[in-house]
Amino acid sequence: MKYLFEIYTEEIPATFLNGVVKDMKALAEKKLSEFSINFSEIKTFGTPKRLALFVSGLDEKEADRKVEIKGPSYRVAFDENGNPTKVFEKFLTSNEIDEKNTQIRETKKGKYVFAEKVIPGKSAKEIVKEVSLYILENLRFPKSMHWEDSGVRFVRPIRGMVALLDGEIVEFSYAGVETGRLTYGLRIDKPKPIELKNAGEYFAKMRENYVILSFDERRKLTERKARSESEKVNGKPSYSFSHLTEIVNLTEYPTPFLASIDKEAFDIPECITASIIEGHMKSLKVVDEKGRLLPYFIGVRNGSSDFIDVVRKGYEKVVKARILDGKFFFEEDKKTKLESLVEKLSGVVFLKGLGTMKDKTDRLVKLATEVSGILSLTKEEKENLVRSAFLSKADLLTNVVREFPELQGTMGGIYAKIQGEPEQVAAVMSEQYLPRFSGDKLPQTKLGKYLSIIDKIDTICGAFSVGVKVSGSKDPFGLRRAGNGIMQIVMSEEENFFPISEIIEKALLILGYGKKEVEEKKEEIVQFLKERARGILKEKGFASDIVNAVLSVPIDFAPSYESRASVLKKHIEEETLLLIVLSNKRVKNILEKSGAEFGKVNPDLFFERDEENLYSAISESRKAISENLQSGNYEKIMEIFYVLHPVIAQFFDNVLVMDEDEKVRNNRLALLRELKRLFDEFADFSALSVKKK
Amino acid sequence: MNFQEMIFKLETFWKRQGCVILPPFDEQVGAGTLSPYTFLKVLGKKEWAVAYVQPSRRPADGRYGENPNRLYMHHQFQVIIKPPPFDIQEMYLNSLRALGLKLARHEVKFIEDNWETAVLGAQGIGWEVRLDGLEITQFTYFQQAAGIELNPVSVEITYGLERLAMFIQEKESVFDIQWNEKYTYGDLRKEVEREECIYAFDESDPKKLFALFDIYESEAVRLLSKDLLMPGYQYLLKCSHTFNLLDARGAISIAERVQLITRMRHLAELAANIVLKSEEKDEVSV
Repeated sequence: MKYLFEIYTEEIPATFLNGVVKDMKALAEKKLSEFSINFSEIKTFGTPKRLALFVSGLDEKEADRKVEIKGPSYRVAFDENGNPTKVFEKFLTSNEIDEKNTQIRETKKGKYVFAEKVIPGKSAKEIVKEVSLYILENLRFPKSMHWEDSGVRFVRPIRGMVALLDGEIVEFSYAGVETGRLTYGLRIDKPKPIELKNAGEYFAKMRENYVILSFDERRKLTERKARSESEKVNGKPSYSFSHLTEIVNLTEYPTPFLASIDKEAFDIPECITASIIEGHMKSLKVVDEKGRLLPYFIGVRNGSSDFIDVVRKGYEKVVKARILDGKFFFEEDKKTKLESLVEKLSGVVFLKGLGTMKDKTDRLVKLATEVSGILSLTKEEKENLVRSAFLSKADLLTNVVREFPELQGTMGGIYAKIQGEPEQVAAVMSEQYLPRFSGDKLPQTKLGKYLSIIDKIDTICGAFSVGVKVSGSKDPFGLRRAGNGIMQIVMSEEENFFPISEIIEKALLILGYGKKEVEEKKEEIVQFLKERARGILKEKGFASDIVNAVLSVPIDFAPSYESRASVLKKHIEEETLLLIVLSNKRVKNILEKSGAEFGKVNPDLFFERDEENLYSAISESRKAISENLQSGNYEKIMEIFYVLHPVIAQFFDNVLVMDEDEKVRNNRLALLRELKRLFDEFADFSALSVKKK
Repeated sequence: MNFQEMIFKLETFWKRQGCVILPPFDEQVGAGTLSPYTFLKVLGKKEWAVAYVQPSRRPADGRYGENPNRLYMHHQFQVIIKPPPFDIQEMYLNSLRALGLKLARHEVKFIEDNWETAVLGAQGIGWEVRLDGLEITQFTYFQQAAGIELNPVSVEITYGLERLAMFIQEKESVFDIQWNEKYTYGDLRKEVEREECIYAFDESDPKKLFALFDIYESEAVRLLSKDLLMPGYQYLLKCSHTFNLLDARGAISIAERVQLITRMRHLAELAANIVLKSEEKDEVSV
């Protein structure tokens, strides 16, 4: 059998439609799996106007199930003559069991009555009804609403429901709407009512009425037509996947069309035009082979190509008005020096309790000065970094950024250049917010990276200092994104060391923390950043245990996290690595259990040769390891560990750590601590989980 | 179709849907939502259906009558229905048809757009309606007012009359709209726009405006605490417009902004409480 369940709604927001469709499928799978009914496939679809579930190859009913019921004991069920008692009768009737299906069996507690009962399977109709209601009640949305008096919350008002099992209506109601067989096609003039005879004809009927149910099909159609339309002007469409997704999900039947931008209006910075095309017009940019914006764009009509010229004219008019508006703002902005706006930042709030953007600017200037010292920048670099920090937030007060907030930074860079700031300063300012999202491009210039990092560190330190907590889905100030940005930049640094903890320390001091509190807060922030690093490493496909092992290394070595993890991943199957992990775990246990206080290793207290051997092997390795850590030759370090391993094995074979003599014992513990520290320089091997072959 | 004809058509259309047609509320407001016909009526359980033109003053948007798309004062056509009819979306599209639009020739898109008004503690979920890319209407289901979760909810439909007229009459400038056969929008409004902007941006006296805000606020508190709803609420509206004037003048610092909004929000809550209280009384007496 085929089952169709369609929820017909008012327009579902484009940005979260795909997520809803995916969740709907998961819910259907979960609920269906609770029944023992066969089906061949579950599919879900979404357009702005509808969510649909389609189950095919569904059996007519669940298989009957046999269950065994334990009844009363024999002594209670039968009298001394072996005749059934009232209790036995009651057992049969209340469970609807026939006497012939009962048997007496011996158990540990004596003889009992057992009965076999057949529970008839539910019909497909009952099951799909339960599944549908389960979906309605359990779908969650980033934002939901109520619109009628049953108390239901849903993404947008439900205006119709189709529930058809083959040709039969599955009756139920939700939020005041009853199921039926009536749905609608694309709203061309009025939405055309469609009576579905059966579930199977849904796809064809939808298609006939200009509704393409599959997102991928709509997307491909949009991409193909957008390309061919752009070719008319020797261009190609340019877009990100998420932007395309949004545009496609504003349509049931997408028809991309080429529209042009008035030449006179086109004479403004590309980024403004791009913002208007994408953000406001929900359209696609058209670029030439060098990626430069052409004075055209691709609008995507929800509907067919009938009267497309009328629609095109409308879009072109709106774009022109918007761009002229932008141009007016841009010309106005050019008249005002960024420098003169910095003071006025005292009128813009940064974070509640953390003062204004002017306060933030002042902190950034101080931090930029400190960082120049920490990173030994040249005099010119220092001047440029400090200058960029000083001007970095001024563009928030420009008209263009007020109108197009996503252009913050970018516009600052443009105005800086126009106003004769050094080339480097302009570049740094335009890069300060990168990366804007996970996977976005990183700042290209060295100083751009530094400004991006210190800006975000100030935000995080500031937010933590006023008690902002990041938890679950709560992250009101985008601190996770800021942290991710910092770690993405730091972890891609060429050098394998970046003094992030020192920068955090300075940021906290600038925020007015005393020396003592700084340590505590710093630790909290370092942990927060390590969590971000964890996310990044996991996204790159490293297993949790490898990530844990690597993250035990201090955060200042973050640039080398990925290389270290790669080396561990490569060796994880090696026999010797297994042994090293085991001995690391052993050492860790011994040290933890002993709980003793002990000082440095004293070679005079060695009594066994294997103690001495291990001691000298550690000393020799230490130098080699530190050299290779510096040069980033992590393969070589693994080799050193491999060579070291037999010495460790010998030690454990022949030396009893927990000697009776406290001095000897503590000396051996100290030796093991040295050993552990040596490994820890590279990673915490005891965190690795190695399966024995 | 000229501007006034459009208004007549919309009024006639919504009259037929059972809306009471009211003249614009005679206080300066920034949006139709602030009108007592909306804010005070979406509270509570009583049914309500209204449509009215609302001249809306947003001083900061003014451009001395020199920008073809931006105005100090524009006209909204506001519809409020509580509870929302089941086919409200189709009803709205019918109103566009009543304006002579052949929808099959155009594209109508509903794009997610939710709003919040801090001053009123109001929040709505809905869309901006785009006609061939042009935003012509805000279509919203009120979820909260005065910080109170609404039940039943109301639907709020706000048409931007100038935008719609420019679209229907195919004009590039708002001032070229035909108001009737004889007058253009510019004939009737341009000089006023200029004067209002000169006042808002150059001539207004922030000191006096701050003083007025204080006076209006204290009157609002005094009247609302005596359960004099409408007189008190009108003083809240005066506060709100005064705030907008100060804002356009760039006279409000951040600390002040937060504070002034909180003060107005307090007044809105006082007014909302009176509405809810009187409804409770009605229920008891029934």
